[in-house]
Amino acid sequence: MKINMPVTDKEVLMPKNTFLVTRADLDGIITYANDAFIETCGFSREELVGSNHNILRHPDVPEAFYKDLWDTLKKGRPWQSVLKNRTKNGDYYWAEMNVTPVYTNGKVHEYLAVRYPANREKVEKATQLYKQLNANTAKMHATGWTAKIKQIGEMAIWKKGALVLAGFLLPNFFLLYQLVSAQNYTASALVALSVVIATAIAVNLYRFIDNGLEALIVILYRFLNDNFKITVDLDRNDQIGDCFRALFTVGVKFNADVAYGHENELHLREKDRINRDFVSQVEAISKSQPVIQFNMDGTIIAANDLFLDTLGYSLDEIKGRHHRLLVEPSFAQSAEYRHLWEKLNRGEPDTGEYKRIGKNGKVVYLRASYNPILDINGKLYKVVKYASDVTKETVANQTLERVFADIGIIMRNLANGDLTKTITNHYDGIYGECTDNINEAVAKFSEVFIQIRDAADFIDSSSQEISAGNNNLSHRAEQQAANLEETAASMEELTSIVKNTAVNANEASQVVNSAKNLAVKGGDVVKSAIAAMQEINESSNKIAEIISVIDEIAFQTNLLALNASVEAARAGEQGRGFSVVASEVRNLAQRSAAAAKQSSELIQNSVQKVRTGTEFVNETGVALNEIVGSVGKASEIVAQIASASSEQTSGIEQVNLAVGQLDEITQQNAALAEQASAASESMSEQSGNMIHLLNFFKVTTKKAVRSTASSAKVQTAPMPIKQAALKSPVPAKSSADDDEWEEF
Amino acid sequence: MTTDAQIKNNQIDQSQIEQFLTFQLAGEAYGVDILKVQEIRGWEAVRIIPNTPAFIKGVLNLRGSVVPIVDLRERFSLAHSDYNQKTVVIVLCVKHRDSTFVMGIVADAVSDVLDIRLDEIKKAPNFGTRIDTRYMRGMHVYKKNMIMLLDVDKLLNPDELESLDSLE
Repeated sequence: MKINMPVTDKEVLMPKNTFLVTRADLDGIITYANDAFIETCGFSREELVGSNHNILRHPDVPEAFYKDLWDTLKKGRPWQSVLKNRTKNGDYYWAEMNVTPVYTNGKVHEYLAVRYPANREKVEKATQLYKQLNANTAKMHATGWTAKIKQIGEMAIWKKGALVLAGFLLPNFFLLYQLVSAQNYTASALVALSVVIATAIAVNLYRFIDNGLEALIVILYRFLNDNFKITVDLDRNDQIGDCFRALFTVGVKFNADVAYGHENELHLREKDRINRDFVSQVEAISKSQPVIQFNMDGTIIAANDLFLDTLGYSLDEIKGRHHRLLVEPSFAQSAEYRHLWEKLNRGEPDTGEYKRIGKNGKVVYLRASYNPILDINGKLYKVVKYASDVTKETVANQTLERVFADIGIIMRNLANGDLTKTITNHYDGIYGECTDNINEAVAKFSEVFIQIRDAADFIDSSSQEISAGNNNLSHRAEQQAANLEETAASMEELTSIVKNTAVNANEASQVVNSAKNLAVKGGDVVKSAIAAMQEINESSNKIAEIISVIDEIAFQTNLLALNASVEAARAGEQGRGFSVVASEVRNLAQRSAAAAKQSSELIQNSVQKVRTGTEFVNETGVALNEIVGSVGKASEIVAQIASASSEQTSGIEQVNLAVGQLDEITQQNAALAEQASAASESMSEQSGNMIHLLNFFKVTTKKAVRSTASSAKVQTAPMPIKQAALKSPVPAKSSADDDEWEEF
Repeated sequence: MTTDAQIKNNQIDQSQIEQFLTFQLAGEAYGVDILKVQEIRGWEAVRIIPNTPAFIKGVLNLRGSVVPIVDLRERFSLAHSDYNQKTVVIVLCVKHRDSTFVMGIVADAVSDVLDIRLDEIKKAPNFGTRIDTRYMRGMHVYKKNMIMLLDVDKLLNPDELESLDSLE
């Protein structure tokens, strides 16, 4: 036997309505244990499942109990007893134990054990029984006569019936024998009949009861298999009928319970689902939001990583510490802080924006809600704070407020005409940009007002100058009027001159036309001259031909004369006279040749001159043609001059008209100049007013110094102004400084 | 007057005077003995004889007899000139050994017939062997012009022509 040690005297009391359920296979190995059992016995589910049932045994319980238990179960019967059980740590608990084999298809396949809190009286009895059994003064089951009587009492019904029948039949058989032997056949026949009838009745009665019981057993085992759907005869009026009705009622109730069970299961699943939903939502919150939990007295239980990151603490640093660690010490002493916790302890949540102090004095703004949490009994047991870090937004809001306050001051100053003030606080980012821009704007205003004032001064002096100028203008306009009259007179003279010109131009045109005609005639003459020249040339050529013939003749004559001389020489003295004649002839021939040569030269010369003359005449012809063209052009020009003269005449008339208008305009100008003079005086007054108004604005003297002289620089180099404006609290920088800035 | 002077000269020394026909050749005056002249003609086309020296221009039909024509410009290595209407051919009678034959020379123009006293004829200058002056009879100065008087027989000697031919 397995003895589980140690044990203590401490009893674990189970609550009412607790059911401890286990299942075991045919070898006693635990296959299932419900939550209540695990809670009570102290073992974990892993330790229980797969272990033998005997780890639960308490050493006080006699071995006979367990033997009886297993003997009964092996017979396929259920077992019941009050039993002392041991928990894991040695404590004990009393339970009424009900064990039953579970059948499937008529075979046992596992054992089901259900325990519930035991009646204290039964516990007392059991304690007694344990003592007696251990002392061997009592036995588990009755022995001897008691057992026999019990055994008889528990005989099967059919045996009981048979005994009763035998007890009834034996006297009858004896009576029958007596009657047969007395030969009283009528009586014996009656007895025999009554015996047969009685037997038949008895057998039928037995079968009737037995069938009823069998039916009941079948139904009950069906119940065991969770089959609560039964069909029985509900109309029987006997006790079996009562049994059937009772069973039917039980079956119906079980069906209803099964239905409730299903329903409860569905409800539980729904609750589980909702619960899971809540859990995951809370987890999601915890992931996205800083969360911290406090006891009702304000000590910190837990905080998530986000919360810790936000404040810069680790969990170990704050766990178990009071919430006031996270607030300013002055606030922790205040009534307001006390009220917060009082409110929470009343179960009221608190929501708002809180300033909290992180590690090393880090200021953190949290938008959070403190939520008191109730336990299952509706009692407050902790406070959970869901927060979100709004430090940035809060700081931004505060900065924004300060910026707007500064801007407000500047605007108030602007309204009062004070342009010397600037925003001196420094801001980052867009605020800084904004304030810089405002400063720049104020500086720009200042600059502009200075310039306007300068301009007003300038206008003032200018308007006075304009007034003087206008007076001058008036005088000059009068003078101009006088001049214009003279101009008009001159223009009239000019008109007559131009008209004269037109007349002359017409005459010139006529003269030019006659010149043109003459030139054309000259051209004709030149043409006939050219023809004459050509005739002369031809005649000259003919003369030259004639001369060449003469020359030829002279040559031949010379040759003849020479031949004659030769003949004369050959003749000697007789040819001397002939020689003289020949030489004379030769002389003549030579003179003739010379004359012909001279004539030829002359005629060549003549031809040359005629050619030159022809060229001259040709040139003359060309020149004459040009003269004709030129004369034509001259004629046109003269005509143009004539028309231009007439146009000039009309133009001059228009000029005259214009001069007249000029005269009027000049007079109007004079009037206007007087008006302008008056206007400039009033302008001077207005500019004085403007200066007075501008004096309302206070501007820095530095900028006054710069004034118009530096305005060009202001426009071309705005950057130094901007920087000067930003640095405006520094008094009166010279322009040299600005130059340094530029270089910088 | 002239006639009187000539008559006076004739009277002085008639035998001492010879008549020369002068002609122009490349602007210079040349003369030949008038008694050697047979005829003076204008230039006309000649019949070319192949394979003859360049100064032989060809032959001329002179009233049935064949007369060779020599271009004296080429014969004297002077600048060549085209022939024109004034170009003349002087037909000469050349005496060689014992026979006489006729030959023409081409001249630019015929100038005159001069009566020259023999003592006024200057001897031809000697230029050495290279230039042959044998065909020069002498030089005559007339009115500031120098007239070269040619010895026709020597100049147009067929042997001489051959030797010239061989020289070339």
